[in-house]
Amino acid sequence: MTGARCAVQGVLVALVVLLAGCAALQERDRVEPDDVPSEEPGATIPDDAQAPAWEAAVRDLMAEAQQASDDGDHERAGALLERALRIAPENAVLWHNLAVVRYREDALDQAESMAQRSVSYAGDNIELQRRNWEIIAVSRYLRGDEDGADAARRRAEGLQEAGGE
Amino acid sequence: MSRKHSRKRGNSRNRPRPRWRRVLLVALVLSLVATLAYGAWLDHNVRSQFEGKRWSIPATVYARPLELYAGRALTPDQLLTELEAAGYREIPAADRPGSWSRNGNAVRLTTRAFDHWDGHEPSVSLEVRFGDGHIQSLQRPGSAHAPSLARVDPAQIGAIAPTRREDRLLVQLDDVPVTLIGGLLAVEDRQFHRHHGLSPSGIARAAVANIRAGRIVQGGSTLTQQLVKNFYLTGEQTLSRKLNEAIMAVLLELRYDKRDILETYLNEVFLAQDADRAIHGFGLAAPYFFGEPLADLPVEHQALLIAMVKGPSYYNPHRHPQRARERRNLVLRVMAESGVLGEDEARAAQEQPLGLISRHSAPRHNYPAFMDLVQRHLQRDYRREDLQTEGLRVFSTLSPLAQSAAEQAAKARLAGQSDALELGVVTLEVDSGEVTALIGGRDAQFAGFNRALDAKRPVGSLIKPAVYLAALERPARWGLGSLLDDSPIELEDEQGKVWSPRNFDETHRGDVLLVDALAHSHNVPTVRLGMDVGVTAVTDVVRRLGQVAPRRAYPSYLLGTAELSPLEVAQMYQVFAAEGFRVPLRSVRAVSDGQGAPLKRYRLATERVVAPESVYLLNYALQRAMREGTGSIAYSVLPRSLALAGKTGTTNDYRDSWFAGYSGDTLGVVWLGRDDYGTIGLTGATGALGVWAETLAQLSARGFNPARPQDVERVWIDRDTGKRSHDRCDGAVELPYVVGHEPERWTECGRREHERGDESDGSWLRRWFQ
Repeated sequence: MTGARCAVQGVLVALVVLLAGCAALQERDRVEPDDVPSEEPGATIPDDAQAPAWEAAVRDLMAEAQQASDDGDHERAGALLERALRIAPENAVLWHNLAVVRYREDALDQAESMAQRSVSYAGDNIELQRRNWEIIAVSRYLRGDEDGADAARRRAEGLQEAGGE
Repeated sequence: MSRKHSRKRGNSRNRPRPRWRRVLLVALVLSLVATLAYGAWLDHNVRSQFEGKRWSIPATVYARPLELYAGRALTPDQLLTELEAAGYREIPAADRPGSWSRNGNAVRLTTRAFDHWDGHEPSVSLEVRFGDGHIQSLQRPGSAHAPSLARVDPAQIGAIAPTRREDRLLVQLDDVPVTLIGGLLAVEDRQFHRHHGLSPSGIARAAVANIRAGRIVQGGSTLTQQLVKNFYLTGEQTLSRKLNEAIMAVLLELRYDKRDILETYLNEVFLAQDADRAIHGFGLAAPYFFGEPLADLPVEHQALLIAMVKGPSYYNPHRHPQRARERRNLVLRVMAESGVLGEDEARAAQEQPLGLISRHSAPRHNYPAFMDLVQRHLQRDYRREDLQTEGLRVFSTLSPLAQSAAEQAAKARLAGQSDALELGVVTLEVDSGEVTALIGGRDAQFAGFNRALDAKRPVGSLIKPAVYLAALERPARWGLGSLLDDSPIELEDEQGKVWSPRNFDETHRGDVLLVDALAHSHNVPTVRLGMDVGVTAVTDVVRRLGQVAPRRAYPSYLLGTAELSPLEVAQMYQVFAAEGFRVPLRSVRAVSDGQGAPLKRYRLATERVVAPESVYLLNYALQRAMREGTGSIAYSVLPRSLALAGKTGTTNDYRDSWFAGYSGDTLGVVWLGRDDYGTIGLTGATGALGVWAETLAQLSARGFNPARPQDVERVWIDRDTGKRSHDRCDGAVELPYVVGHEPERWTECGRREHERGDESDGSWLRRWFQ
């Protein structure tokens, strides 16, 4: 009983998060505009290895995907994210956003899988991990897997504490 | 009055006349009816053929488009390999669609406009600068704009067509250069826009022109008549045929407007015969003769195509270059005279060479094995007839770069080997599951038995990771540092006979660490481990890796009696490479219809089938196999800095040589063997591994460095006893373990150093009290 209630609460919380979805992550995560000097044409590889040169390409595709997803064109959003993933397959944000797109189009098992994939690449990005576990919790709940949803919910909550916000 | 009268009289006098008239009348009516019926029949014929005329258009299959962006691992040579596959030509200015030029580390190119399944990509000119094996920058020449990403229009890798066939590439009137249309009409049918199917003045003018030239330079038939001739009639030259042709031409003109007729003509006209393939229409003739799309043809090429209309065989520029050239120049002159071209332009074009792509020096690259995979993939969703006739556009995952790398590697490594030695190769992108290259046999250009898909052979030691994974999924019992017994063992085989597996080197080592037993591919400890875990646990793993496994398997299954194709092995190892996520392999991204509307998309899908901790431990052992085990020879070809994981496989009597392995971005599976199951005298390491390593050397940019899961930590293990040890003790190796499942027992040195370590170092204590 408590499990079910917990999961329902989880759904509500997660839905709020999901509605913000991709946009919020895009602002805060790794994929930020890199500082290419504006007077110098050409996206040359910056000397510091921290900002890979392909980030510009990924960022543009992600923005386009965001737009498509907001317009309800999930097919296109998914395709753009897949295209970005071929450039940066270990980018946890891309996998997460693909999870959100799949969730929005009601492909729940794939939403869960993509979120798990994102977790596997999320490293110590606690916030991203937490959001992924929330997607996993909701997807499981909506598919009738309440125990699984509970377990995922606990992971998400544990991360919230660990995140120490 | 009187005349009337006299006529009446006359009538009454000549009795037979009314009968004659009646006969005439009847005959007239009858012939009118017959003519009308005939006309209606012809009309019906014309209409049903013209409207019902659905050219059977084979499905066109494209490679994956090359994405260009700063930071991409790519060399100028690799870019040129891609461009060549897509039919690009070297032109100093590189300003025409489908052209490139190179200046040291910079390549300039102009892409062709292309309708991708997910949208239109206009033609762009790009300047690509390279350095350190990467694209350094991407720019629009003469502009400050630096695009973040650009897609090159993909190579056309094949068509799905019936064997004996008419081939054509449909064009729409608006996509045909106006000079070509102007030239065609000037030469073949000047009155086209005015006549109603027939053109007496055209015939007259043609006659005059022909007399003046002393030979036939213009035909008297209108385009409409020619179309009718091509479309409906047989080749015999009779008066009745001419009459039919004329009537049908008029009917066609009555029914349809000029644009429809012209467009149909442009697509229908026969222009060349290429072995079993008849080249119809200007759309296909352009790439066939010049390697360029019709829209991009310079006027001299347009003129040559127009020249061929008159007699595709007589004016064939390959067989009769001089004759073809003369007629081309004549066409250019006519084009100038009729105002289609400027005088200077025509004269300049006349100076140009024929510009044909050589059929011998540049044979079209074939991808028979990959095309086979694409067709099998599509046949799940489409009927064969639809694939052959509906003009579908298929966007595949083939990478011309990967295919070329694999073919070169295979060629280099198989040179000098017996002709009977065959191979199958699969490469794929680890995370997307997209198959990037496929080789079905020794001659990669030959469409025969597709070994990559159909050679199901015993996999030998390639099965071992499944055995070890089954054990590592039980961390309470097994870890990488578990000791396995390597002493001889006797088991019962399928026939109830005694079977005693041997190690490859025929020696026994007593006890070995689990990680070493896999890295060095020892058979006996593997069988013992598999028997302890249970064969059903192993077959359960194999099923999760996407393969069929027997319900009841014998111990010999643990050493690889399972027969799999290279593609199936690739699916299995993909799960390891993607750290426990299975991604169904794909060869097609999407299909759109002839008009470009998307029909079907094959999406990326994934599923976790192995827990992250277990697969991490397994990958550790498979990396060890490459560093110091059976796969280590790969590093004679590949840089030490590239982290790899993989496994060799060799079957009894050296019948099969396997290798399956991956870097961070590329997975490859190579099989070598004979179709007659004869011995080839090669192990996985001496045969397949070489082809694999050379392929990855060309392709792979990223090492395999899986992130350590939270629940895995590194501990020191004593190599001889498998007990906990310490880095200050002899014979200690550091191995990853699932947290909470480290060995409980310590070596003496290990415990001593562990305790002392805490005291002597004391850093954490100090920190604690600060």
